[in-house]
Amino acid sequence: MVNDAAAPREQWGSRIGLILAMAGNAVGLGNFLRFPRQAVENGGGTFMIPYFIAFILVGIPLMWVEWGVGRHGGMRGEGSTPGMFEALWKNPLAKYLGVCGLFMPVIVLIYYSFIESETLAWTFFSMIGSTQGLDQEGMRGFLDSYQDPLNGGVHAAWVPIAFFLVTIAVNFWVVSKGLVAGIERLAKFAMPLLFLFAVILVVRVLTLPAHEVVEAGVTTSYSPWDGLNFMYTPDWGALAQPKVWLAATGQIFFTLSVGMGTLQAYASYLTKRDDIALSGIATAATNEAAEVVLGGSLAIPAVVTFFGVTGAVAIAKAGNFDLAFIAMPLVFNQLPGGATIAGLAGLMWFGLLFFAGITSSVAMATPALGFVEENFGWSRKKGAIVLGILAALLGLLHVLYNTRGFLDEWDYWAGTFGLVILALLETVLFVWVFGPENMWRELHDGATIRIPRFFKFVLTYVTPVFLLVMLVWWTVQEAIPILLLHDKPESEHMVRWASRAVMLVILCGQLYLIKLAWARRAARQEVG
Amino acid sequence: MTIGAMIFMAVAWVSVLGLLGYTWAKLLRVDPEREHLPPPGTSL
Repeated sequence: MVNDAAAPREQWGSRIGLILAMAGNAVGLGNFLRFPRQAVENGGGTFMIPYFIAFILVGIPLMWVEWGVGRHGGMRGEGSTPGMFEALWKNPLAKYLGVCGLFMPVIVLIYYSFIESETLAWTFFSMIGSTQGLDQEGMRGFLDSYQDPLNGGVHAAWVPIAFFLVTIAVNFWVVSKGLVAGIERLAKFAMPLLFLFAVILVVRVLTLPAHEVVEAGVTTSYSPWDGLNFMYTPDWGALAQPKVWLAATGQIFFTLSVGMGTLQAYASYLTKRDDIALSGIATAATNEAAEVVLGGSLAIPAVVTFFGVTGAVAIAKAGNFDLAFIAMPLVFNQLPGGATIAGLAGLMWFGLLFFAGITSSVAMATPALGFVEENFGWSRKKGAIVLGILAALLGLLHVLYNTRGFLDEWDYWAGTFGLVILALLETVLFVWVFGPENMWRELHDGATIRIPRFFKFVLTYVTPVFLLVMLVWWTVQEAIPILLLHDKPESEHMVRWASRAVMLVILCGQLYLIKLAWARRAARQEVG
Repeated sequence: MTIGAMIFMAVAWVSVLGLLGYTWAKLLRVDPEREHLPPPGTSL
C-alpha cells in the first residue's frame, strides 16, 4: 500500500558525509573489543581465513542488499523495513515481517546506550584521574560498583544513572536536528577524531618498550610484537571446527551492522541518481580498516606487553568489559610519562569508544523515527523527544539490573540472533521475491562502478544458503539452550524472564503500530 | 614474530588497506560532493 502521506524526504548533504555516517554506524565498540578477542579465541591468524571468506560471501553482499532495499523503499516514501518490505513484496504479511527492522534497532539502542554511557563515564574518570593508582582489584571494584548500583560501593547509584541520561539526551538531541544538521555533522566530526585517536594509540602501543612479566614463577620479557604474534599465529586445526567459521561470520555481521535495519534507514534518504555499489563497498572497507588494522593492533598487543600471554588469555576470556575497562586503564597507568600520559591515553581510548558508540546509536534511532514521521505525521523533534523518554525509562532497567542478566537477554535475542533473521528475510525478499534481475538493476542504478557478475551468483545462491545454515546452527547450538536458561543460575531466572517479557511487549506494541499505520493509509486512500 | 604470524598479518593489512585505498580514491576522484558520472562503465 502506497504511503501517500509521506512528506518530501530529507537527503544527505554530501556523499562523503553519507559514507562517514554509514561507516560510523558500522564502526562500533565491537571493532576495538570484540574482534581481537574473537581472533585470539578462534585460531589466531587462521581466523582471518573464514573472516575474509565471510566478508566476501556475506558481508559485502548484505551491504549491497541493505543499501538496495533502503533506497528502493525510500524512493517510495518508506524509511523503515515494514514499508520497504511491502515495496518489494505485495503481500499483507510483508509489513509485519518488517517489524524486525524496527524492533532490533530500538532494543539494541536502549542497552547499547547504557554501554556507551560507560565509555563516556570512563572518559570523564580518565580526565580527572579517578582510575590512576588503582591495582587490578581496585579497578574491578571501580567497574563492579558502577555496573551494579543497587549494591553500593565506590560510586553512588546516581552516577551511572546520570551518565546514562546524558548519553540518551545527546543521542536524541543529535537525531532531533535531522539528517544533515544532526547525523551527518556528527559523523564528519566524530569519525576523523575516532581515527586520529586510534592511530595515535596504535603508534604508542606498538612503540612500547619490552616489559618483564612473571608467569608461574618465570620472568618473561614481552613486547607489543609478541602481542601481534599471539594474535596472528596460525592454528590450522581451527579451520576444521564449524564454531570458528560461525564465529567469523558472526563477527562480520556485528562489525558491519548488517541485519539491524539501520543501513536500510540511512539508504532510504538516497535518490535513484545516487550510487550504492561503490558507496556500499567503501563503507565496508572503512569499517574493516578500523577493525583489522586499528582494532587488532591496540588492546591485545598492549595487554600482552604488560600482562603476558597467560594474563591476556584470562582477560580475553573474561569478556569485553574486562578488556576495555580494567585491563586498558591498568596498561595506561604503567605507560612511561606518568599521570598526564595515563590520563591522555585514557581520554583517547574511551573517547574513541564513545565516538564509535554514538555514531552507531544515532543510526539505531533512525528507523523508528522515520516510521512515526512517515506514518503518523510526527515531526522529527516530537519523535526524538518521545522515543528518547521511552529509551531513558527502559534503559534504566539495564542500568539497575545489568548484572542480573537483563542486558544479556536483549543482547542475545535482538543483538545477535535477531540479526540473522532480518538478514535472511531481506535477502530472500530482495533477491528471490523482487527477482535477481530487478535486484541487479537496482544495485546498478546511479552506480559509479559495475559490480562483478560473480556477486550476482553469490547474492542469489550463496548468501541465502550461508545465512540459512547459520540460522539453523545457531538455533540448535545456542538459541534453544539459552531460551531454556541452561547454565544460568536460578537467582537470575526471574530477571531474565522479566527482560524477555519487556521485549515481547515492545514487539507487540510495534506490530500494533504497523497495523494502525496501514489502517490509516487505507482510510486515506478511501477518502482520496 | 614468527614468519607465519607475520604473513597472516601482512596479508590481512594489505587486503584491508588496499580495498580502503582503492574505494576511497575512486570515491574522491569520481564524486567529491554529490556529483554523478554517466551510467556505470568503470570496472571494479
